Amino acid sequence: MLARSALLVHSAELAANAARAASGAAAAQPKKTGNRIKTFEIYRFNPEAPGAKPTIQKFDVDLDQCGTMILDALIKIKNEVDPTLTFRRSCREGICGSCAMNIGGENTLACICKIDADTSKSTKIYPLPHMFVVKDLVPDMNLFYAQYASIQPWIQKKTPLTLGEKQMHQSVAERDRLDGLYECILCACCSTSCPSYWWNADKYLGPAVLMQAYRWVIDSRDDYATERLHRMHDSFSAFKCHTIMNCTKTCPKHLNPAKAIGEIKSLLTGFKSKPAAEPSAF
Amino acid sequence: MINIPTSILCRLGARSAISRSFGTSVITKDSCEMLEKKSLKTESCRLKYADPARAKDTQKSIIRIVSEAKTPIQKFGWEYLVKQRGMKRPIAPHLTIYQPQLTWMLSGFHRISGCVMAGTLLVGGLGFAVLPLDFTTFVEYIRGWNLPCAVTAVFKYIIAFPIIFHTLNGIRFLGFDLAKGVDNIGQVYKSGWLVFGVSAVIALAIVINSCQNKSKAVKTA
Repeated sequence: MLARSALLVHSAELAANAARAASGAAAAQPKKTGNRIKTFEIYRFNPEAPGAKPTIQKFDVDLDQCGTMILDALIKIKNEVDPTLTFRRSCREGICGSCAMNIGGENTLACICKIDADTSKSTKIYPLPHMFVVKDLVPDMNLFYAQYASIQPWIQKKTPLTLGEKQMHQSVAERDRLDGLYECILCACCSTSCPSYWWNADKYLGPAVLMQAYRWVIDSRDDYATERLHRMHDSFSAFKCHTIMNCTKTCPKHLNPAKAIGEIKSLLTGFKSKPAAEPSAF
Repeated sequence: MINIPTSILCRLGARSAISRSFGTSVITKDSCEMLEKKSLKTESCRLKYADPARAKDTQKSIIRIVSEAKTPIQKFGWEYLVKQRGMKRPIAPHLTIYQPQLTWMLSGFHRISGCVMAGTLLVGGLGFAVLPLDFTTFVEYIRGWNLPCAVTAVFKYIIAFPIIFHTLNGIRFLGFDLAKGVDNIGQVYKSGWLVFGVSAVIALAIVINSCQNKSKAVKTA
């Protein structure tokens, strides 16, 4: 009975492979031989097949014939095995944030995540958790970007400003406050690792957006800190953070969204206030 | 639900008349319009439509009521979710595939232990109030079983550990809320293991202590 069901699964896989071979140029994946054959289990969803359900597909990759990072393996699979495998990628060096996905259970960037060389275990790759999936590893990011736009991530002055007339002065200490905030690449790894964001994506802004909100609130050159904070003064926008700390744990750029949210809460509750801007020396 | 909105309204001082007539409802858009129809225009109602720059000058307690209305991005967010669901797009797996990490495991246990303890208190409180037996007779009844110390110790530990853990971790989380102890992920992990370990030790000490007391009581008897 067991053998027969295994056979059934195998034949189903063969049929799927054959269908794929018919649609693309790739032939059915031959059994890999080599010393370091690594299995990748990748989340697949094809929106074009009517009534399609998400599935997990296994791919074998010879690590001796592949680059060191997860993204190398994905590109190799797409090039050599299945051209329909869909994922976002751009810079391949951890600065664009396109290839954010859930690898081995943790959100990170595929391009800077090393392949686990232990070939006895497979590596599971999923899209960013609790996001609506467009296709395979590509999630819909529109809400995330709209939330980012809603915090108005640009400098706002109360005094008229003629561009190019003079510098906007900032002391060394004031500039230091922006370190660890401005480096965010908006890959959404932190927001999609946060259970609060999973359950309340519509009302809670999420760690990435809140950290950027704090980046503009605390900027000594910006005059609208009160208004910025007021937009988050409801019980969800910022206060839905339950200090779970998955954001700081997962950030591929080693930033600290949890601390920024703590600072926002301190400002909102009046435990802290934004330091007054130091007067310009010129 | 009954007390909180009333108390917020009461904090508005001069507007206590409204708290009497609308005592049990949070001010929603509907009730605001109702109030306006009754020409009972209040500061809190006008604030809903006012610009945020004005709102900050008024009492802080008012802001809480204003915040009950959804912000523009929250409205957009809800429409987005409805639209995406309508498109029948799958939601990427989350809870079941995310790597178990100390961060969200402790947070989850904190919440679950809180809920279970509150539930026990509620059910127990109501139960002892309604049923024809009180807490003391209940405990004496269980003592009458003369269970071996090893068995009671396990149950005592199951009761003691969540209480201590929830208290200590609650303090840790309050720190996090004020951006204390979150300078890096190492700090978060250290305090997490510390809280977990210390609560385990304290719970153990309590159970051992109570077992010793019990055996002393048996010897003297």
